[in-house]
Amino acid sequence: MPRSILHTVNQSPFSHTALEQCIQCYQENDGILLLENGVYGALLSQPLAQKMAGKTCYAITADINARGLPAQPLINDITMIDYDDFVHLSTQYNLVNSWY
Amino acid sequence: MDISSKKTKKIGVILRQNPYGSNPMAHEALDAVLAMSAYEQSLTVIFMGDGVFQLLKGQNSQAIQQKNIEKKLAAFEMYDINALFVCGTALNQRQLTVESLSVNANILNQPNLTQLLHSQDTLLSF
Repeated sequence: MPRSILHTVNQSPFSHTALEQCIQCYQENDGILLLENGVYGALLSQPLAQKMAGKTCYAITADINARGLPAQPLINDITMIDYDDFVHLSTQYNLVNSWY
Repeated sequence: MDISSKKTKKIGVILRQNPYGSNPMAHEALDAVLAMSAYEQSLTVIFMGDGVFQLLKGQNSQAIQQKNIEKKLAAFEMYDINALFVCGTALNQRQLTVESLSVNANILNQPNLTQLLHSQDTLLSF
């Protein structure tokens, strides 16, 4: 049974390659957590929006709200969570890897 | 309890930083890898993205007053750090070949690289 990775991305896909490289290393059963500036990855307008389809994605609510993103078209099926959820989530995956 | 049967951990270290610049992360990452090798775990080092630039041959960093990354990488062999992998996609994007590299690294295609990451016990990213 291959291990599962929770990938955390904290940089915007418009300015950094973190999300792009993360997606290349994503495998079934993995998850992607967008936090800090990574939440710009939740925008429908971001260049890799199509590649997020079918992947298990989470985003930190506080970061989404801070940046005014709820008023913008966002990708479907991103689960909004808080930091307590993040802690719990990290125990549900075998590995956690930060892309920054 | 048999204290002599230590379970070794598979530690995957991902290096994505450029070798030089205002951020000293590349050097600190290599220092961390060299330090980790003392603990006899199973270390695997994976160069991705701009991290592959650390592997270019013929670096001469004297005039920019930074320590030489190529020289630090040369120490890996001495420390028995031999499981070095390079992302083939990153090399292609930068039009680099195995001849451009200063170390003996295995070039991986994306599926194999993904599999390698998933087979580790712990991942550290620098």
